[in-house]
Amino acid sequence: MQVEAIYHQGRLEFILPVKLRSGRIPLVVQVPDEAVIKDTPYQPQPTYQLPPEVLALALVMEEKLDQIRNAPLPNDADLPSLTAKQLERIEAFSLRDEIRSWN
Amino acid sequence: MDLLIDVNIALDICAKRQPFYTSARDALALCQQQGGKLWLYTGSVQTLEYNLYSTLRRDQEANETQLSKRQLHAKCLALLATFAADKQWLAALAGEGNVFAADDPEDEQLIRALDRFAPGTIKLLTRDEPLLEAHPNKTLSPEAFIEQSLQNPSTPKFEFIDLKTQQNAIRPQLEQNIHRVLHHGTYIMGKEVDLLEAKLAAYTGAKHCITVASGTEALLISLMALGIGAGDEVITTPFTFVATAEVIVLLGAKPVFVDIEPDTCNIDARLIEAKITERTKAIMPVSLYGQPADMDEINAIAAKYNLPVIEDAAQSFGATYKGKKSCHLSTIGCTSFFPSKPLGCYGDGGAIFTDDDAIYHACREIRIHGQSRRYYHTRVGVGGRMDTLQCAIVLAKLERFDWEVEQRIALGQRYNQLMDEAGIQRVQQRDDRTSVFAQYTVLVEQRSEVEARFKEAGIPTAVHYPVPLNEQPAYQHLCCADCTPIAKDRARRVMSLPMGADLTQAQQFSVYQTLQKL
Ligand SMILES: Cc1ncc(COP(=O)(O)O)c(C=O)c1O
Repeated sequence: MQVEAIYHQGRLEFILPVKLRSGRIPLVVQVPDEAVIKDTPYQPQPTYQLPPEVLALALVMEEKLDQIRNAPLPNDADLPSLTAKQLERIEAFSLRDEIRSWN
Repeated sequence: MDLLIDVNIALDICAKRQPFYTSARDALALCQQQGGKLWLYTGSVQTLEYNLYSTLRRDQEANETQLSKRQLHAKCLALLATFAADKQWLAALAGEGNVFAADDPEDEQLIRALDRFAPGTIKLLTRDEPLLEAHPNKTLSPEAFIEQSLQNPSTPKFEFIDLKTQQNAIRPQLEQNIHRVLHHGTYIMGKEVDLLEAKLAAYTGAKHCITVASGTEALLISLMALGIGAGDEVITTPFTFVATAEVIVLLGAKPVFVDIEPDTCNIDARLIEAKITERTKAIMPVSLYGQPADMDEINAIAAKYNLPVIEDAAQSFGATYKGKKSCHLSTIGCTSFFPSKPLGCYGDGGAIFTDDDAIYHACREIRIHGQSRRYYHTRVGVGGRMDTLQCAIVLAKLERFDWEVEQRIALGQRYNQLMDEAGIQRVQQRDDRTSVFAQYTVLVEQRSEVEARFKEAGIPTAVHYPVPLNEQPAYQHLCCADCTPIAKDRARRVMSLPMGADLTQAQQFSVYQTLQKL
């Protein structure tokens, strides 16, 4: 089906409420030409032939971060609560993103 | 080339943001593999933390995982801590960027921070299009960096003494110490001076340590404290840095040069006694290249004639002799904190060590214009203090010093092994002492040709020293040039190779290969 939506600050907002199944849903979006900043046709990222020792180093770094990404996290209740200051900063940084998107 | 990592690149990596992740990851690995350093800007800490938090939150919304705010935040901090662990922190400095007038204050600061580095040695790695367009000479995208590095791989410059790696390793402590001095403002005789003196005395085992303006000043003040002056003689080696003899002559005394041992290049203790006269007032051995001379034998001769011994330990701080530390091997020990010395500062500095209370008090007074209290001058002195900032720098370096000494000894031994295998003559070390290898020195024939070969290979070398002091125009009238034939021969043949705690085994091996090809 075709639905109308507005793109705003990196999100698509449907004009009429639509209930979708949960999960990732691929969409096709029509963007008016005048809204595109410049000619930015989608380009796949280039791939490089890296020397094996560089690739090995890159994978060591990846492995370290993957371990953290995949590690089970403590229960929410066992973690210190976010302080008022931290919550304020989370808000402030989303506000910053918003201000930047005005331009 | 080094890279300063913009926040967007750090986020690409920490949040594994496709399609940007792979290039960002590979660019960092390539930079490190080619010997570059990766820098994070301390002014970006909060941006990193909260932008990663919101990126992870968006990902989680898309993937429908259910982490609480606290869990997300904990994950975000763990990722950043791991990412930052092998990076260098670049301090945010006030005045870099017109912070509130700029479109993007943080970008402005990042770009200006690059100006602290030598031109062309660092770029900001970013995929922020406006930044890349506005500063094409200061920025690179990961893709551009990879292409450029694959086409023109950069090899780090081979330094004779690599002080940069040391600085990077201790930068946080260094910056903290320097800033403390800037804030307390006691630039002369501040608390860091007392602290350093206490630490150095404890390190060497000497009862007293007096920091002074340089190694030369340490020697001069020591001789003044011993009352050496016109008509006196001081026995020393001609195969040393000029300061050793210079201070003797400055005081109107005469250096009496004794030849050196052919294998260690240190003063030959067996030849000293024959040079003692009634005018002899001190013996001044030099712990050349970082290795003490035969101090037991020298101290025994000195005791027989009731003479003080001043160890010129400018090159040997950290070395040992029969288990005792250099600088604490005789009446007085003098060292230098010249930047390239085993323990160096970022300017001039030095220290005097002694167990003798009277010498200690004399040195302290002479260091400050011979004053016993403010504006009361009991003796003639000099302006010879080491400033507080330099003491703060040595304090930062001391924390890594034990490791550095171990490294130097291990690298020196490995050099020895390689030279012996290749049949290259070298300065020898005795079993009852350690050298800190302020220089690693070999003996070669046709030295200028060998030097040229090294230059071609991009490996720096140096000569310590090409002319013995008794052949120098300013000193040659003090001793015939032919009286010290071994010094003469060694001056013609010695050549020092790159050395330092941060020399890599690969670098060491390339030095060896260059020598082997001769
Ligand atoms: C043997 C020797 N004595 C004295 C000095 C003088 O030290 P500074 O340069 O700190 O005055 C040096 C330093 O180069 C030296 O190597």
